[in-house]
Amino acid sequence: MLLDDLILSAVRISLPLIFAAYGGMLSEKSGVANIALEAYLLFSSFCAAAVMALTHNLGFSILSGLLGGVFVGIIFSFFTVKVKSDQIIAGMALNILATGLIPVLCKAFYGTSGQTPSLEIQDRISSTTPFIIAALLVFIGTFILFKKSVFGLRVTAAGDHPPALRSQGINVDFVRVKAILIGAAIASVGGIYLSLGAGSGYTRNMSAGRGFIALAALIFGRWKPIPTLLACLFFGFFDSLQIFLQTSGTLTIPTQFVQVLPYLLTLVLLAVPTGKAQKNFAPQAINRPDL
Amino acid sequence: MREVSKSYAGFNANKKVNFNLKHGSIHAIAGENGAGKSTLMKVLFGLTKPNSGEILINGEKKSFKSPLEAIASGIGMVQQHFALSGVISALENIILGAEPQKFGFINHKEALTQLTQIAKDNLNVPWERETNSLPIGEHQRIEILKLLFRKAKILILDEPTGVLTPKEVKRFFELLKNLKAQGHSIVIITHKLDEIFELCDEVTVLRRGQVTGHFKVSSITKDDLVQAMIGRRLKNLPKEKSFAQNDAPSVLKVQNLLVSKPGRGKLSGISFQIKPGEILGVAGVEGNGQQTLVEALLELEKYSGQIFFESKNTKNLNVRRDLNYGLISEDRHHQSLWLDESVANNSVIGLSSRFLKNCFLNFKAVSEFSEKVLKKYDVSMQNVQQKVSGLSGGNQQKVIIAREIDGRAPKLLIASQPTRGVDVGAIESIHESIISLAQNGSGILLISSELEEICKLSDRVIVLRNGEISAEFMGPQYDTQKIGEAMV
Repeated sequence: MLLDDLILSAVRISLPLIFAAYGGMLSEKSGVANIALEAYLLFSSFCAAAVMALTHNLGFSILSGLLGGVFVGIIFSFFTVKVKSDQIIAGMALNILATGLIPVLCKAFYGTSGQTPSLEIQDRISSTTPFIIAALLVFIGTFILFKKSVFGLRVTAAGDHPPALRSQGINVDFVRVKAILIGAAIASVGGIYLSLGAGSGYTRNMSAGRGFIALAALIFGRWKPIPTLLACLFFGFFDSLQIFLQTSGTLTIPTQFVQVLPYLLTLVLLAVPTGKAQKNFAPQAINRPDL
Repeated sequence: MREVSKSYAGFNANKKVNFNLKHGSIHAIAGENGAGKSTLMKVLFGLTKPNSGEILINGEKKSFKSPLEAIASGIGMVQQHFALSGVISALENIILGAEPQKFGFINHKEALTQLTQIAKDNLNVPWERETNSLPIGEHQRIEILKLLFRKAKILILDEPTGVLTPKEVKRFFELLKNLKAQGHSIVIITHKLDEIFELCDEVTVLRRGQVTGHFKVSSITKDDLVQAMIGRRLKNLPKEKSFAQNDAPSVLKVQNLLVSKPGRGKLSGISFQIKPGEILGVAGVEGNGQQTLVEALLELEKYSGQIFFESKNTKNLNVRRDLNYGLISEDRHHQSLWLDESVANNSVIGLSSRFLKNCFLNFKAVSEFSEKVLKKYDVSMQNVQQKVSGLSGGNQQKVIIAREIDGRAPKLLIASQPTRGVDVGAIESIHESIISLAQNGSGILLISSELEEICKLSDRVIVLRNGEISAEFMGPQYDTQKIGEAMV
C-alpha cells in the first residue's frame, strides 16, 4: 500500500522531467546543447495558467502553453542556429530571462510578485491520466522517430557529423531548427502539467530546477529513449521518497537535508560515470554550430 | 568545364581552367597540394560557385547552385574527409538525404533491395553494422555506394586512397575499373604518380590554379608529369653519403624496451641506438609497434627497459620540453596542429618561450619567423594569419616540418610518416630538410610505411614485426625484397 503510493507519486513527479528530457533529447541529438529546458517549463506553465485564468478555456490554455514554450524555442534556435552563438550561453540567457520576465509580467497583469491567480478546481486538469498517456505517447513517438523515421535519421546525422547531411544537399540548420521547435513543444507539455495539473496556477519559479534535472536524466540516459525514461523515473522516485521521509515524521534531522537528496543524487550520478566515458555517448557535434 | 575561374579573398584558386571528361574513362586531376584541384571539383559539384566560366554536361549548359542539383544531373563526389556519420548504420549512411520512404518512415526493405542490386557481388558492405565499427576501407566503399545509390554517372573522388592500406587500395582500384567498365566516368584527384599510371586513362595537371598539361597517360613518362606538376624536374638528389658519426656517443640509446599491451602495439624488449648524424629507418607494416615506440620514446607510455638521450636516462622526463625532441607525428590533425589557430601560431607551438618579450608573446616576431621558414618550404597560403585548417594537407605538414626542424633544431627528431598525404614537390623538400638536419649532427628516427622513403634516407634500417626487431640492414644500398620479407 505504502509502496503503491510511493510509486504513484514517483510517476507523478517524473512527468515534467519526462517531457522536458525528451524535448531536450531532440535538440541535443541534432547537435544543439540545450540547457534552456528550464525556460521552456517556466514560460509554458506561465502562459497556460495565465490564459486559463483569463479565458477559462482548456483548449486555448493548452495551446498557449505550447506556444509559450515554442516561442522560447524560436528565440533559442535564432541564437544557436541562425547567428551561431554559443549554445550554452544562449540557453543560460533564456533561463535568466524566464526567471526575470515572468515576475515582471505578473506584476504588470496581476500585481503579484510572480504568480498567476489561483485556478478553480474546474479549470485544472485534476486527473494525471491524460498526462501519463501523453508521456507514453512522447516516449513511444521518440523511440520510433529515432529508430524508423527519416527525420530521426537526419537529426542523428546532424548531431553526429553534419557534413554527412550537407554533402547531400540537406540543410543542417533547418533540421536543427525543426528538432529544437518540436522539442520545445514536447517540453511545454511538462510546463502545462506543472501549472494546470500539479498546481493550481503558476507560482514563482515553478519548475524549481526540474529542467536541469531532466537534462541530467537525459545525459545519464545516454541520450537514448529507454534509459532516459528510466532515469527520469529514478529521479522521480527519489524525490517522492524525499517527500515521504519528510511527511512521515519519523526523521529527526532537518527537512532541508532530505530535500537536498534528489539534487545531490543528480550531482553524484553525473559525476560518477567519468566525463570521458560519458562524452563518447554524447552527439559528437553537440555545441558546435554548423558553419 | 570551360574557362572556370574561382578566387578566394584575392587568392586565385582556379584561373581559366578547361577540363574535359570523356564517357567511360578515368581521368586524373594531378597537381601539388593547393594547386586548385579540389576547388575545381567543388565547382563542378556545386559546392562553390565559380566567378566565371561554364559547365557543360553532355553538351548541355549547367549551373549548379547546390550539390542537390549536381546530384540530379548525375554527378557525385566523395570528399577527401569522409562525410559519414559514425553512429548510424552503413545502410543509413548510404540512403541519408535520399531515403526511400513511406509517410516519413524509412522504407528499409526497399532500400536494401535497391542496394543489393547496385552492389552486386563486388561492393557488399555489412549494411546493418554501425559505421564506426567498420574499417576505413569499408567507409570508402560506403561513400562510393552513396553516389551509385543516387544514380551518379560521373564520380568525383578527392584523394580517395590517402587513408587506405595498400591492400585496400588494390581492392578499391579493381572496383573503380569495374565501374568504368559499367560505363561510369570517374574523376580522381590525386598527387600520387603511381596511381595515375596504374589506373587512369587521361590526366589534367594543375599548378597554381592553372592547367599546365593535359595528357593521355599511355603517352607520357613520370618525368613529364612531374615537370608539369611542380614546374621543374625533381632533383632526385641521392643521399650521397652518410653523416653518421659512428665513433661519437649515441644520441639515443634504447635498451630492452618492453611495453606490454593486449593485442597489437606491444613491444617485446627491443634495443637500438642512434648516433649523431645518423638516420635510422624503422620499416614495418603499420600496427606492429611503431606507434607504441614513439609514445614510449616520448615518455607517454609506461615501459620497462631503459632509454638514454645523450647518456641521460629519460624516464619520466618531459622530453619535448626538457630535451628538445623534435616530433613529426603521424596524426597531424590531432597531435601536431591546433586547427582553429593561425598558421603563424601553429608554427611556434611548443617553441613559444623563444618568442617572449617581457613575459608576453611577441606576435610580430612570431609572424616574421613563420613567414621566413614557410617561405623556404613554399607553403601555398594567403598569409600567416589565416587558420591552419584552411591549408591543404601537404601544406599543413610543411608547417609542422618547419616548426620541428627549422624552428626547434632538435638533437633528436622522431619522424613518423613524415610525407604521408604530401605531394612530390613537398616530399622532396621534406627529405632535404631531414637530410640537412642529419648533416648538422642530429640523430633521426624515421618511421615510415613507404619502403622507398626508408631506403632512400636511412643509413641503417630496422624492421619491426609484432613488437620485435625482426631484421636489421645496413645502407646505403638495400634489398627491398629482403626488407619486405622481414616485415611479414
